[in-house]
Amino acid sequence: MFDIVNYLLVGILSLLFLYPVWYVLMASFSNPAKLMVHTGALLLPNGFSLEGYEAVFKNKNIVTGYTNTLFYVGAGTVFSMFITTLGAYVTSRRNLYLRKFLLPFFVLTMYVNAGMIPDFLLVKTLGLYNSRLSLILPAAIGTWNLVVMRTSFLQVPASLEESAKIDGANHWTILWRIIFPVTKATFAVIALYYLVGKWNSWFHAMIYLKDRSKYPLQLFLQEILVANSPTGLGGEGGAGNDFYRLDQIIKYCTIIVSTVPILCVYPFAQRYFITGVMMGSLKE
Amino acid sequence: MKKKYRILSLIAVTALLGGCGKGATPSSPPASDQPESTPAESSEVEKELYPAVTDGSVTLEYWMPIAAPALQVIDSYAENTAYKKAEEATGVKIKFTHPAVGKAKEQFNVLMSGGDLPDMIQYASYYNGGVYKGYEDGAYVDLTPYLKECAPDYLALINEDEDIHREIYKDDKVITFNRIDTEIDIPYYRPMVRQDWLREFNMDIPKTLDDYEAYFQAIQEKKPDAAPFFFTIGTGGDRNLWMGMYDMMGDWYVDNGVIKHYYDNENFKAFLTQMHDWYDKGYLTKDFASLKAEEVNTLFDSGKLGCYSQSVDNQYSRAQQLQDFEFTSCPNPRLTEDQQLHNGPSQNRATSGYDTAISSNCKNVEAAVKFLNYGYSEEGMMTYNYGVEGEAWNMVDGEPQYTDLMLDNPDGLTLSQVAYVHRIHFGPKAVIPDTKCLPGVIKDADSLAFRKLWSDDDKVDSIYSMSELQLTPEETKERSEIITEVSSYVSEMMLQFITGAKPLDQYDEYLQGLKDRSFDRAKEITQIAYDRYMKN
Amino acid sequence: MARHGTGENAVASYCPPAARQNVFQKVKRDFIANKGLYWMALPVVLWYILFQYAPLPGLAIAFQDYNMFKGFSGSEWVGFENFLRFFKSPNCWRVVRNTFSISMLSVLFSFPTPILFALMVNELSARWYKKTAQTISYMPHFISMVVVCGMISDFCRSNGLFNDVRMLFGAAERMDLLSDPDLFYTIFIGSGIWQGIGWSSIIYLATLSSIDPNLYEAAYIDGAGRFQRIWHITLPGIIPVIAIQLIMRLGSVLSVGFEKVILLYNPLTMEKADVISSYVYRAGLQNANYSYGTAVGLFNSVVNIASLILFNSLSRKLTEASLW
Repeated sequence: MFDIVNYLLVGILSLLFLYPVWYVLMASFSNPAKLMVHTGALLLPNGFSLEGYEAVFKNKNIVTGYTNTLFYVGAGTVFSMFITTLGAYVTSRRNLYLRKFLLPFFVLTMYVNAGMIPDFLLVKTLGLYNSRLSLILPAAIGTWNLVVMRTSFLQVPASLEESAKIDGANHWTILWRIIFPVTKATFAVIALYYLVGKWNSWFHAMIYLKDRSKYPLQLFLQEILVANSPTGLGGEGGAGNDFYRLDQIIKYCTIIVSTVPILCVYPFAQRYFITGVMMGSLKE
Repeated sequence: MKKKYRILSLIAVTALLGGCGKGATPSSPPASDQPESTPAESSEVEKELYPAVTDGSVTLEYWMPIAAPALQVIDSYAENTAYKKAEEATGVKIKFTHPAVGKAKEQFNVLMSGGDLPDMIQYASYYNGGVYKGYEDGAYVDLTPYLKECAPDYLALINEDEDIHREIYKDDKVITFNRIDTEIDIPYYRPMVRQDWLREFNMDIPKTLDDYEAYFQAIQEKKPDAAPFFFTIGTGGDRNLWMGMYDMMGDWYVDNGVIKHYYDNENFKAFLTQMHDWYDKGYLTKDFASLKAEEVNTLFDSGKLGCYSQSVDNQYSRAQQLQDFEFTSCPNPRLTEDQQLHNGPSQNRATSGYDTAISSNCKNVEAAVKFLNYGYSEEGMMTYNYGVEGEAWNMVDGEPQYTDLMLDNPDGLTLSQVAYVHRIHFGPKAVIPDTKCLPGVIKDADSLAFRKLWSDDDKVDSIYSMSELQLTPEETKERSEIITEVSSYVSEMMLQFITGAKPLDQYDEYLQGLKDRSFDRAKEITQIAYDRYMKN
Repeated sequence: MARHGTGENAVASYCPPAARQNVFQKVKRDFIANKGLYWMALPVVLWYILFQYAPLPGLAIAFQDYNMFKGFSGSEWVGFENFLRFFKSPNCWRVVRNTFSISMLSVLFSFPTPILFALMVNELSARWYKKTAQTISYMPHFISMVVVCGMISDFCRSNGLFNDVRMLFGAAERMDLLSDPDLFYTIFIGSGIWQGIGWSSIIYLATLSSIDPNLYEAAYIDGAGRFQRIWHITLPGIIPVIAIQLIMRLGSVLSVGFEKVILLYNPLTMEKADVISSYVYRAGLQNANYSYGTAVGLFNSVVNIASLILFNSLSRKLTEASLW
């Protein structure tokens, strides 16, 4: 009995998780005119049409945004993983006296933060303003991720390291050949955290970048989704916007285009989630 | 896992309350007796003026917002044909930098914090404390010494009229190039109703409050799927239109030398009572507080809304794509047929929206000034307003006539897109009114007539219209601190009264709330600034 | 293992002056023994110094009347004026109260729900069903906030999905749900749950999967029913994790992100919806008043740290689980 109810509840929840995304997906494949007047649920495309996607892919911004985002996410995640791993490794070495100072030094920053303007001034001073690096360097380490990684490193049996040391391995070797294989799952999870975070970020880009050619996809998405305020084109006395017929569907298609890659990636990394998080959460 | 939400300092968000609205509204009374400016004397100087640079050695960076319709077609205004012509004619190369649409003010502020300013900055009035403070702080350059030699057209234009002179000169200095209307334009924002429904109900185009009520009631009875009415408190246009009949304007205004506002107006309660009545009866759609502009457009177009206010040209061009759809614009709503309304178009010919300043970082101010002057020169004025001669238009019988490039674009650009891609709509220039040069309006007699509809309403004047005042930096700071609190307070209260969340018998509490927030002081400051302005 | 304070000086304060020498000597010895590690640590430490600690002096602009063009050195000092301005503002109490309310409500509702979900999923025996449900449950987490809020607005419209459901359940009439201040918290928290429940449940599921199955076996043989097994075996297994998570959550008692609030609120719901972060975002907008914003942000951080310390001590006393 309990089982039946449980299965049912979980099933309903799953539908709830799925439906809004499904709605957007179906809407994106719909006919723009029909979509405009549509109300109620949407289980299948309302008049199948690829018009929305055509418009989206014709839009040079989307292409630029995608290229940029792929760079920021790719290079950014690699760099973040590298430097976070170093930090996690060092603070997990039990025989290191320095780690007494390092860990609090790192963790304190999670609670103390200078704010946007001082951060910006720093980026400016370092000459990173309007540089692509400004989206990679300042956001390189998420201390929470570092802590999780560290905890999982601590789970690795000391005996493994000992024998490696006896064989004359240096720290890099230990890291690569011992630690990494054992904690692969955590690596996967943290990499995914970084990846998703960077994929969805737009705020730093808005503040640190001046050239539109460097904008990531999310910032363009912001333009499309949010920039239509009540005082938008109607109240401005501008030349109007008669392209609006496609406005709504472009929204949906852009959402799909910018979210689908992530949605495709994560199921594959899924199997690492549980193990990875587990390793990273137990107290030493 | 749970992202630590950092409390951010601040970012200036898109000016919902007026970033572009106040500045860029071209509007006019019906009979315009402002002379069209002809910089005739300066054409002599012009021959020496352009090209300003002959060896292609000067490139200036120009930061300016870009309009969303343009982005649908091009990446940046570097591809705008009118700007290309301007670069050619002046010999100055321009590097265009655009902020994200809708985030222009934030990115402007960030730009200012950075210290490495572009040579020319559009929407200079975003500067915290005003354009003059920008000059005092050292961000903007004083243009006055350069005008005679490098910007004779602009100089002539801003001095031909006292009002314009007062608007532009701050403490006897010119800091920015502004949009200057050569004529006051006809209003572009009006209530819209369904013409086919009016016919069905056997009614005339509504003019008075009672007319509107009858229309709404008919909709409720005969078109149950549709909401009768929508209006938003967030747009100046809407406020002006619907508060006008209560003898108020939607923002600061002047009545016989006395500064007034709707916040504490004696008729405000009557207005709220009326709107509340309409909300209760179901005339005012229940979603009015959260609907967005494009959603409202859609509702009206799909027959789910009976009346709202919109840009006439906008509605007209959308209607072209719809079937079974007839609509018309209405004159300004009034209480009685013979009421004299004062919510006519603003009489400001110099507006601060899209004004351009030259930054202190600019290494070649002369070239920048000459470039910016182009928009006011004879050739430049035509280029900016109509596009490139020979490509976008040709002179026919002494009148410019658009070519197919504009009216029936071979690349499939829509009318509003060509308005941004082959000519310049927003930006410092001598502005020729929409009724003469906006492609969407003049493409055929119908659209033009439509725009002109009701513009000859003689019961509407603009005596409440007030110029943009010059406040000192201290005044600006004090007043904007007060207004920030007050305006969000008023928005909340207004909506609560209208929806009935707060009963109208608590109106006095609202007035007290205004006092507590020092609104009287803000009014005082504005009055002082106005008196000072008028003395000049 | 307890950590005392931060950095060398704090440690030193716990040692008698005579022993102070030892710290520097210890570090020196440490360096010689672990050169490799020190080199490894270098880029990390540099990053923290550069990107986390270096901007901190910038907090000083909270005590200035910061002028964005004049910059740090050109702006005048005003002491606590910005803080006073905030405390005197008519909105101050409101935004603090709202921030606190939303935070507490989220602890009350958003915190336990992933646990419940984890428990439910954990009880599922069909592996494929379990996996599929989990995969689907993560999906909302990956969707960006702007998109989620766009969907929420759509659904709350008087002709939207939520109203359709309400009418089914016999509601009197349709209404714009986002205009009702009393519903704001429900919508805000509810959508937060929708977005986070799957992802947040991972950590609990992870811990649950490490509970020894033999315990369950034994209980089953002893005749324990489903709920008894959950109560006596499952729950105690995840209490430590719950405690840590709770502390961290309570440590950000005044942290409600501005993005979602701004995307969802409107003047009608402002009374309940305006939080500290959205207030700063807005109140500063017309002035581009960075000092004011930084001041309020500083106030916010201070409260957060204080509450974190408070709750951590409480937890240590009550459950022996603590962050440090």
